[in-house]
Amino acid sequence: MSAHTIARRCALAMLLASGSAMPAAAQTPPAGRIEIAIGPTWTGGASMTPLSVTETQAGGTPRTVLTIARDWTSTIGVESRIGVRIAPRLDLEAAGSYARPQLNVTTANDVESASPVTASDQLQEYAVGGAGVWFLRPRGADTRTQPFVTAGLAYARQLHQPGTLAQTGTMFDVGGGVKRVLMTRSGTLTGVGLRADIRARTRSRSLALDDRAHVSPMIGVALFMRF
Amino acid sequence: MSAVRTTRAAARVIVAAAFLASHVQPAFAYLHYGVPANGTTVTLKWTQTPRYYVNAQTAVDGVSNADFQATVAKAFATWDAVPTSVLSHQFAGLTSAEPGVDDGISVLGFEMQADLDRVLASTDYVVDEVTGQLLESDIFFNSAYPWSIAANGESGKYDLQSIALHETGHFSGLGHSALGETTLLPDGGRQVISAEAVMFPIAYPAGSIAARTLKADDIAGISDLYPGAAAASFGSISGHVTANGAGVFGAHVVAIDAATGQMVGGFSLDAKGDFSIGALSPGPHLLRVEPLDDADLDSFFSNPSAVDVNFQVAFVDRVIIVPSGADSGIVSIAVVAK
Repeated sequence: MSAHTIARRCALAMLLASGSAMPAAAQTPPAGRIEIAIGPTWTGGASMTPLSVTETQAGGTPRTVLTIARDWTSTIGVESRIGVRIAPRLDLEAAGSYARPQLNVTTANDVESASPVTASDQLQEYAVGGAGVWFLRPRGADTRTQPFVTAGLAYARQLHQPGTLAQTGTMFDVGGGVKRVLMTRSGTLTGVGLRADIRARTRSRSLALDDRAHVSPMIGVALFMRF
Repeated sequence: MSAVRTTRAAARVIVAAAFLASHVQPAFAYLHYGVPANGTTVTLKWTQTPRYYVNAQTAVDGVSNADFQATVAKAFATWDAVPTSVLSHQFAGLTSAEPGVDDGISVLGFEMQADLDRVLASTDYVVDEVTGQLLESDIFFNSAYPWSIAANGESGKYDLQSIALHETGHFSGLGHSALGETTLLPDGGRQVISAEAVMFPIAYPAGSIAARTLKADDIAGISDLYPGAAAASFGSISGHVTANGAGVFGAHVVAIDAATGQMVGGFSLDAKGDFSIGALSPGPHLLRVEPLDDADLDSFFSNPSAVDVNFQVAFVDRVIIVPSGADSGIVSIAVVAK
């Protein structure tokens, strides 16, 4: 290989390097950019462990007198987020959500042949927490589609029949999604877009009747505004 | 089994139902005894630490006097250990007094009562007719039956600890629970298939030791009568049972904890069908209503003809939330005739 060839290759490498570095430097987002989002969510149902209601027989062994199935129904809710960009690929978010899942308790196998019944209770579920959002690609002014992964933790409070009883616990979300910038502009409001994400939501054991954590699918769509 | 002697002048009443009569309390969680006093009804309970004596001569084949003392002490200690109740019993000593005598002291012992049909043991009370205060309670264990104190029970013999636990529940003021299933025997008696309360009126067959442990229903009952600080978070469910718009008397209403499956029972106790079940853990519950058909009605009520057993078992079709330290609000249950 001649010295000339080496020199040309070095120059090309420099150009390539600078060619990729220059736009990256231009895409570096300003620190402290804020994004506010709000939109509906759908959270899937979850089944808790079935329960046998028993009486004790003379030998000390249990005899099932009925069985109970316990479920949370799927529910539509609303979620709002405020995020702060703290690194080119990382946002931190504070989030709040509200949903109204239904607790269903269904009886079966009654020893005295009582007709099965599904008894229900309409819950109000509030959650407040935080999440991290990691973007899979660096975001730039010309990057309209921004896939991301996210994980978050929230304090949750379930109210049974308003005012009668509250149960508290945590909810852990992990998932991913995509943001699509629909409009950019200069000024205070710098962008508007849509966000869609799919998550696995884990409700902690203290929220469940069977003292176990339960995972439900969750889909969210939100309109976001950047400032 | 339990019975009541009204204070001083009245003769001893052997049949419990004679006392239960119309004086069951429209109260919580359990069938509590009510005492008519000064024109009102007072819940039968100890207002002072109950002290009990053991008859010094009491003993039967296989159960010495020391065995008897130790076994009844264990039974009382089981009730005393309920963390949500403040009741505590005290052993006062041995005595030559017999149970069932109005002598101002509570005495436990064996007695031969071969004439009593299917009565393993019985508790009775002396009550101050003016104040309704419980003054004395005696328990006799029927020595006409074979008894055992063996750790694992003995075939053909009744477990003294199990029966003592039931009777000491009466001693403390508890009535019968209806949480159990039975089958009728050819001789007119009943055999327990299963039960979920020590205070179920029919004993397990001889040899069983299954009733040595208190159940949720027993714990609710004693906690409701003698609530400790830890019972402050308990709540209640109240409401009424009707059929064709009329109140149902004597319906067995069972609250089932949707988290644990534990059951606590109560009864509709008046002509309007009103019931109240107390000392319940906060949280979602199911309500199940059934006719009182697994024990003799006079185990619960002295006016069994007033008890409606002609309706179908039913569940309430909504989850009843028991709040902490409060009542669920009125739950209306309409049942359908069989």
